[in-house]
Amino acid sequence: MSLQRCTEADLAAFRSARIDEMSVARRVARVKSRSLKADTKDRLLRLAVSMVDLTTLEGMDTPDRVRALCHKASRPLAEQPDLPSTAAVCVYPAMVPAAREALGTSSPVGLASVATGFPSGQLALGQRLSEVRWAIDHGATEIDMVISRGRLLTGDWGWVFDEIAATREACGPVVLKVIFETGELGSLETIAGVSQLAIAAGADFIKTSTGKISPAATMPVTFVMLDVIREHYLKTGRMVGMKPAGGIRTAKQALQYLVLVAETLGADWLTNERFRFGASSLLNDLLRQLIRRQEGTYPSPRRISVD
Amino acid sequence: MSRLGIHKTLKMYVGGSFIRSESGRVIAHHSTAGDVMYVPRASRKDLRNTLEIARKAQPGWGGRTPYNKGQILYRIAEMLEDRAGAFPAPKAQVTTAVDRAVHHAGWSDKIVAVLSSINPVSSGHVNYAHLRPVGVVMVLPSAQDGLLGLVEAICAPLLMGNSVIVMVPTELSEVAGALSEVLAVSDVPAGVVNLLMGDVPSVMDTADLLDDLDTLVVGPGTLSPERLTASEQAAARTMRRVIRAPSAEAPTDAMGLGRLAEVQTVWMASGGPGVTSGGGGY
Repeated sequence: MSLQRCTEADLAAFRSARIDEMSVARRVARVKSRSLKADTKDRLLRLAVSMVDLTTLEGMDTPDRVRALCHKASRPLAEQPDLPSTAAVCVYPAMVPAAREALGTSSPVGLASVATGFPSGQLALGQRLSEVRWAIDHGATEIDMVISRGRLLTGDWGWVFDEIAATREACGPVVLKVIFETGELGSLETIAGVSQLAIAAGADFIKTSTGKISPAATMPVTFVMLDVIREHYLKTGRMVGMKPAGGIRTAKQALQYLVLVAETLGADWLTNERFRFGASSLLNDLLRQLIRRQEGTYPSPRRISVD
Repeated sequence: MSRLGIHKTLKMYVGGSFIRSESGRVIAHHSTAGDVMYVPRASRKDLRNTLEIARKAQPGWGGRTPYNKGQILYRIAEMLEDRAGAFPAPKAQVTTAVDRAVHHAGWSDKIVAVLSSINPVSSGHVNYAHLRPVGVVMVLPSAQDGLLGLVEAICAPLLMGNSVIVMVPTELSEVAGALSEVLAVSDVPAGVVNLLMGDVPSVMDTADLLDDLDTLVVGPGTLSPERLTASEQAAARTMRRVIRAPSAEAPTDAMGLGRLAEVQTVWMASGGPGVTSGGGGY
């Protein structure tokens, strides 16, 4: 893919994004109050399982832990073999070889690697790009990059555009998700502007957070990002994906996010090619709710393995 | 100048907070002063949420030293004594309840020694059995036992390191409200003791479906025989313990307290005959 370009006028347009916070809050409140019919809930719970990027991003990660995670991602619940696998596993670059070995070469489960000096992004650009290439060479099929928030907050938006474009180029055909760390960006307007910038620079997915700081994903932030995706689609016809990550732990929250997606972008985005949850504990709660709907009783969390 | 009366809203006590039912539903009931009082009516969702809160709180409480648990149980007695005059119950009943809390506080650092044992085994091992908490205990105290029944329902599982959900009979709602205020200032960590109010049999329909609940303690006369049998049958599905408790007139004895704990047996190589290497195991 050729390197994307943007002009000062484009950057000025990104910077001048305006958001009415009150109407965002009202919209989110309305979505949260929606009630779902039982069979829709069943369908959405299964869909949510298929949208999880099952994540482990800890200093104490080991190849064995990653292998266990890959097995769980491939077959989330042994007693329900017809459940879909999760969309992907998400690991540090050093764990990519172990994950690729566990998944094999024909797994439907994607292998996402965070890269570019995750979570802070505080490495020289050359090192960050070589990390991306290393992860892809060892089997990653998706790259979750972080942007340089420091550059962004000091006004150097052009630099952030260029780093995303450079990472896009380094990724080639591999899926690129761009993490903003929205909890550090201050306002919904900055988030809207950065969303436009990342999409223009070639992001396949825009992603809220690293999961390392609080607040992580929230519904107002997700709504603003979805709305930018919508505007971009109406303008260009290109469908960009969305990945809220961090802080989504319950099935109930996941369903609310899916309602938000359906109402903002429509059913075309209700697929794991365009919407993901970056989460670790969410999967277990989804499985608990699925067991509850099948068996009629509320299963103990202790019944499901903790990863 | 006349002054408007300040009426207290009766609330449940969950996770260290005083809450209404999420359903907004209430049961009208007469208070001791003869006024109509609206008792929150715990819903299925309230019970599910409470169980999650109690589950989270249990390891922290169970991990405290027996001495510290005893101190906190004693603090419950102190706070109860302090408020005896303001309790919606006769003074004599409060005094008995205070004494009961002190009784259990005293057991806290002794019960493990009484119920643990070193077991004779035919190999070169030291084999001992000791206690650990059973987990989350739901208690249905009897309305006839009054304040004493509530204190017993709380203190006995607490001293064994469990977290507790008390399903308060409507007749005891007012006194349970006052007891919640005692618990809130007794250094009992949030979520370790939770008091729900409302219609007991309908809440039990949900409790029977909650696999994460470890033990159910049923006071005399709280459930019909058929309802109790249904709960026992549901409990069999997940090996939940169901204890038919006697009246709270006498404190739960050592064997009764033992039923609020799991026994863990530990084998340790002692280097005797038949043992070639050291190490321990379960």
